Amino acid sequence: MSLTSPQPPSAAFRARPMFLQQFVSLFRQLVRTPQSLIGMALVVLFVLMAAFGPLFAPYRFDEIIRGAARLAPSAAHPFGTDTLGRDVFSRVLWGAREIILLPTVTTILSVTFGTGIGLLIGYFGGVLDDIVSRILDSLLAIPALILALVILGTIGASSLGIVIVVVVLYTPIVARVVRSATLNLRSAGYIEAARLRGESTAFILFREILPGVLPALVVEAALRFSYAIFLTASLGFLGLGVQPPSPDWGRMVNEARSAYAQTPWALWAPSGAIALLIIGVNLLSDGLRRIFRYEGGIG
Amino acid sequence: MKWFKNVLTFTLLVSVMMGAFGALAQDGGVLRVGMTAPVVLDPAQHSNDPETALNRAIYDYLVEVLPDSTIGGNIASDWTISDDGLTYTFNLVEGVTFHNGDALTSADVVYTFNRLQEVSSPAISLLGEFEVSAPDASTVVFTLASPNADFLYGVAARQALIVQDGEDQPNVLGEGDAAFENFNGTGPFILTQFDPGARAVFEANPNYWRGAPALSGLEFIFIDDAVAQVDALLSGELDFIFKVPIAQTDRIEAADGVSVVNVATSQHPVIRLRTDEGFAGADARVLQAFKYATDRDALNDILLQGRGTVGNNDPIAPVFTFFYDDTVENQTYDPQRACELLEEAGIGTYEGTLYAPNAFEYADLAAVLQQQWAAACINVDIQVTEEGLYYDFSNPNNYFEVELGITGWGDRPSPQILLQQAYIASGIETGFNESRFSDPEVETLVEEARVTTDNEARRAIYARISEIFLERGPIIVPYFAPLFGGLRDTVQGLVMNPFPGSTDFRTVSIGG
Amino acid sequence: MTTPIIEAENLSIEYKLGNRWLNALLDVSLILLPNEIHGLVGESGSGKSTLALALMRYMARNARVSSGAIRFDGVDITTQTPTEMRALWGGQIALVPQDALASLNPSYTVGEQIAEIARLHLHDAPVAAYDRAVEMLRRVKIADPGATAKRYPHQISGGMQQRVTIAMALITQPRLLILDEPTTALDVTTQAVIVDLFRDLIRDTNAAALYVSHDLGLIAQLCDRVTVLYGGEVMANAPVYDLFKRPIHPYTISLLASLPRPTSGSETRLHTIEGVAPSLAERPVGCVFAPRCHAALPLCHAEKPPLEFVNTERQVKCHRWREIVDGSLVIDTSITEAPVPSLPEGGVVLDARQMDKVFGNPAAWERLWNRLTGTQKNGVHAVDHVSIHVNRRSTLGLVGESGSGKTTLARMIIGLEPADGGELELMAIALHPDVSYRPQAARQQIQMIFQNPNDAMNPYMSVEQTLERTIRRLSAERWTDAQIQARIAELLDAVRLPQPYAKRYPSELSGGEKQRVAIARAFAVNPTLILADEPTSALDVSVQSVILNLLKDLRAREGVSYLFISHDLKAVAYLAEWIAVMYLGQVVEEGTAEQVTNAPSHPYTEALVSAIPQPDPGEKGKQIRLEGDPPSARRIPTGCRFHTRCPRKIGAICEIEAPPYRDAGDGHFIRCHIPVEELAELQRDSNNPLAKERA
Repeated sequence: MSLTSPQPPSAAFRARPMFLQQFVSLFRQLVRTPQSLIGMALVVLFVLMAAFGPLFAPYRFDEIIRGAARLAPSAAHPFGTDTLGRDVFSRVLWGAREIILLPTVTTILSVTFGTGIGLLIGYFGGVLDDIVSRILDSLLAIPALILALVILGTIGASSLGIVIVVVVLYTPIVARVVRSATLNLRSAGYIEAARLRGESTAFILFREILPGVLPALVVEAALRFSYAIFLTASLGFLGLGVQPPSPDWGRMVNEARSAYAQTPWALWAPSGAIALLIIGVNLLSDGLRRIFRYEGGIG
Repeated sequence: MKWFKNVLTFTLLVSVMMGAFGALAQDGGVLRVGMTAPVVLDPAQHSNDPETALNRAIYDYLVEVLPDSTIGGNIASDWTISDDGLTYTFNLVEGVTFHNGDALTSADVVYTFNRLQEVSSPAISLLGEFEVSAPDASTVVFTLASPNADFLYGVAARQALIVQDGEDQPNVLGEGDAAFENFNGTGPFILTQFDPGARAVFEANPNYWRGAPALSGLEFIFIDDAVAQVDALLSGELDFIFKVPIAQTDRIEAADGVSVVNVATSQHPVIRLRTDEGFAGADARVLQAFKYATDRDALNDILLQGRGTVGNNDPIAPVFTFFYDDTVENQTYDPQRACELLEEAGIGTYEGTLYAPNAFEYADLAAVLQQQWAAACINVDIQVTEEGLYYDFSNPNNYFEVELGITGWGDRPSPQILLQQAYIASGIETGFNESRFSDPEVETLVEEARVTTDNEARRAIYARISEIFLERGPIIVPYFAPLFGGLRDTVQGLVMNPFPGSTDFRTVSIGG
Repeated sequence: MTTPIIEAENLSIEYKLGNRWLNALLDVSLILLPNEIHGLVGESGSGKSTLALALMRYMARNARVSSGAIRFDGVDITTQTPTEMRALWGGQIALVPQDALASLNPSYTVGEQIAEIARLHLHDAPVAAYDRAVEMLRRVKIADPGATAKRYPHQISGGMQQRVTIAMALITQPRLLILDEPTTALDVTTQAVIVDLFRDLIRDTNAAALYVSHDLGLIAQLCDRVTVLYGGEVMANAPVYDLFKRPIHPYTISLLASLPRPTSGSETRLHTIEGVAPSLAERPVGCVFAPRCHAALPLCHAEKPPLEFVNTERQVKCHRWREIVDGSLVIDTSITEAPVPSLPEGGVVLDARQMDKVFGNPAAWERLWNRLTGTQKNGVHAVDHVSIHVNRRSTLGLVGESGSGKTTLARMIIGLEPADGGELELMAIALHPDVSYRPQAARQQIQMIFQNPNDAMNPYMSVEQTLERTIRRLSAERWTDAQIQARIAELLDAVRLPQPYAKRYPSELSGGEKQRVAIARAFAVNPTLILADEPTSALDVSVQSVILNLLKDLRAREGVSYLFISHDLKAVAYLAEWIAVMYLGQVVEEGTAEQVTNAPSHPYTEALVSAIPQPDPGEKGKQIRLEGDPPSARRIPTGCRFHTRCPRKIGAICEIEAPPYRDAGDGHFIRCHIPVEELAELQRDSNNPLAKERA
């Protein structure tokens, strides 16, 4: 090794597993670039909105105000009202919870399953890897919306349905990322040393390999989260998502679309919110990717 | 992009000029109607509005349903019904000719109705079992197996268009000069150009037996997107469109030179509870509670911007003028009363799921109902399902199985049809009686109405049925939806039919 | 005096790390004259690549020239625009990089890529450019230049790829050629051929060449002048003969003394330079080498020495060079005696018989499929029925180039790669081929030191955790925490790491320190046998000697046996009593270290010995060079496996018949058709540097 180009070491996961310190250092690196800072600010804003939005909403999300249908934005209704007379501002505030919560759950689940599968097939390889990888590939080959239609059509449109769809779609992607990261580590000396010690497979997978896969996983999870938001909103838009009168932003866009001529504000508010959230998450995941120097991910 | 704008402007100019030119060329002018593209052209098999409109222009009926839902003569000048209600005798108008020049005879009518039976046309469900014969060239006789009060509605069914004897592939495009040979009717317009998916052009039939139409021609322009149809109307490319979404009506109203036309129909959503054993609707108090819990005026205001017609909680629409009794007093919104009734029924608070298809405004309807009911001890979750899936029996939560659901009922020419299909025991078999409503008194009354030909007597029967529905009927009918059309102000004499494809363009003209 | 082609004057380069600018190069001066091959030597982190690339104005994005100048033909290029530089790059200045494959474009043929440069810089017409490219390939001694020109980079061997990069560099007849460790990734026999080629080609041109390497032997064999970098500063600068024969800087003296050499017996130790090279962030105030210097005075720690001229030819940066020159100061490089005398060799510890491994052996269903479709798919016969044994308290060195199967053999012994055939016995007890099925006692008996110190430890476990886990998992008895702590302290002591290192994580250790932890781990549970797979190949020279000494000491103290695997015959000869030489999955020669490194020996062993670059510029005797590339283990040559490259091939018999494994006496075996006596006769006058050094 020669000193060709010393780069700032990626201190976030520089190997010292003191997680608080890592978190602080990760945060410091993120705020250094304006893009990541903006991304983080947006994500924090939406998370706060999800947590406390309903407290500040003037109305409940499903409250129909008699005689207030199709009102243009005003002081009383900052984003106007929709065709039924519901306050769009309140619905957007309430809706943040849906759009943050569902993708969070689906991301956690698909990252968990994908990590498990990826670790197993990456570590054991062979026929198991051949078979499972082919299955994952074929799952990846199914167009997302077709799969969503089939699953949601079978079990009915519901939050559970969305969770199943997104998990089925994203688990293979996460599994492939983890698999390839695991493949790189499988032949590392410390893994072989663990085998020589007679460690259990579980110990090798979770104590020895998993920490090494973590940087790739964090970036992938952030990426999955942004795609999950997009997919959830799309399913809501197609009427396959959560049920009315839920203030799901995708569903709100769909409901407002046919009445665009009458209530354009009811279309712009949720569309803008989706766009801002996804931009925020993407900027943040780009920042993480820069820090971890991880390239990859499947669109 | 500038050149593109120019081209666009030019195109618009040309089309406007051509429209103006067309209007000048002949007295009545050419009426341009926007609609979705027709798919099934066979007169005996077609079903939707554009298909009907196309057939209606080319062919005639024996008798027809007038805009007020009554039956009027067409190529049958008059008819008699035997006392036992089993024999219908029609006398044909003299001097009716097909577009190919042949005179119409009773043989053509017999052929037409036999063909309807052969190809199992949807019209058969109204016609029932019958035999048709022609004692002479201008008389047709139908013999029924059993009395059928709606037989005339069957004869006037959309598919019962009179084709020429021996025509075995009506409305099939031919080659070259013979391209439109199979579009051979006796109707007011003659097809001269047909471009599937784009347009159909007709010229007026100068020899039409009721006199040549006022229009010189008719042009159907096929545009599948409802908003694009409105755009085309506003830009002057069309004169008339129907089935305008309610959210688009403002645009038409705001524009100059075009207006919204509006016709009441019997189309309505039904909110129904299952009444069979084990379901909440088995208790009439629960059924009443739901009626008290629902503010139908508010639903009409919120969902149809007040443009619908609030009826009673039964399928008999005000649009059936002769059969509708407006003196029946309906339940008014009273959440307190609803709670009491539920308490009496031993339920306390109703908890359940309200199912709805993802069609029309039904998802919104469900959301508003949820709100109204919440104040009346009824808590429901909403489950909106894709329309196709909702009506699919392979789905365990299909419209027929769920306890509480919304279904859409399209326009029917007569209340009898709805009652027979959906609210008597035999409808359970056919899948129309989703509430499993089976009331001995209603069964008797419906059967009585079926064989009663006197309108006054029938109205009295229907009024009684309405009262029973108020007390123990399984359904809430929030409103009967109107149908919106958009019409250029220069068009005169156009009366939109509740089934808009059946709108008669014969008397329409385009004025200054 | 001739004008220098390139000259760096008091050049300092800084890198931005975080918010700080750190000096990577400090006040470095370097002059390259026409027709000179200038060696640039240094360990990792010495700044040699930074300097080499800076001469071309290639700098990392976070680097800057903080002072000094770089003059090419008298023009300062530190201020030139990229457009102006582009005229120099490729045309006037050319680079031969370390990783040839990475520097070639995978989507163009070799010929197209070389021709492209001729078109760009020499303005050749396309056809002429291509012809010139083929001619260049001929000049770099590629056997069939026409055919090779039509191939893609991945279709040719590593040695060929490196020849192609040389062809690309030389096609424009550059004035300055920079070679950045161009043979480090190559096998020693291939390296020898390529280095010969460099020497000839550079002598033919009038160019100046800067040859960057950590390998003192290569520099001695190839260069005219040498600059020694340490910690980003020039320590010395001298003609090659002076530097190697009369070193006057303590660092140079120590470095040369620490090179491994064959030693008779196990009682001697290599000279070592203790400590680690300074990091950029913690540059000493005084002499940068002072912290590790045996002769450092208080002055050395306080004040930086100037780079002074010893004579017109030679510069040195040391406060005490005069004392060294006049002999009043002698840097002690005497070979120290072993701290513990080792016990005599015992009986057989490990007996591996007929070990066999085929990779990618078709499974049953694949064989059926192949038969049905008529396809033939060979597995790679990595190890072909090899038998070896290791004696108690002794070391067996396993030597061979990449692909010889030496690592696979070791992995089969330890059970990481279950053998396809053969029998394994450890102290006369049979071992299961798969480590997962071996009892704890058997796993405890054999330990392994891995090649790459950087992935030998879990980056998320501290030194302490790593050692503790090993002790707990591999000991039959239960240890108390106090006992564990005591054992860890003992182990750190044994590998000479300070006690506070127990709390450190791998990212806080240098390569050598990591390897010491790996050694500590191997010794943690008192094994009988330790497999060491190239334990020093990733380390710097000064660190390598420390590790080799440590291994030797520990063997004496703990009474273990080693199976020591290396491509470096000198390291093996230093440590091992017994040597087995592998070629394409077979042992071609085995015997005592002395037997193997001396005549008579197998022609392959002879070539290996001859290919070792000697750190002695006077030593340029008859050299044996192996032509061609090693055959793939997928298509093993018939007859003698070595016949395709053997310089002593005697005829058709070598191609047809497998050679006998001849007994040369006293446990010395040679697999060759040539009788042992004849081999001895043939090899009598050949130059054996190892034998010479031993004498």
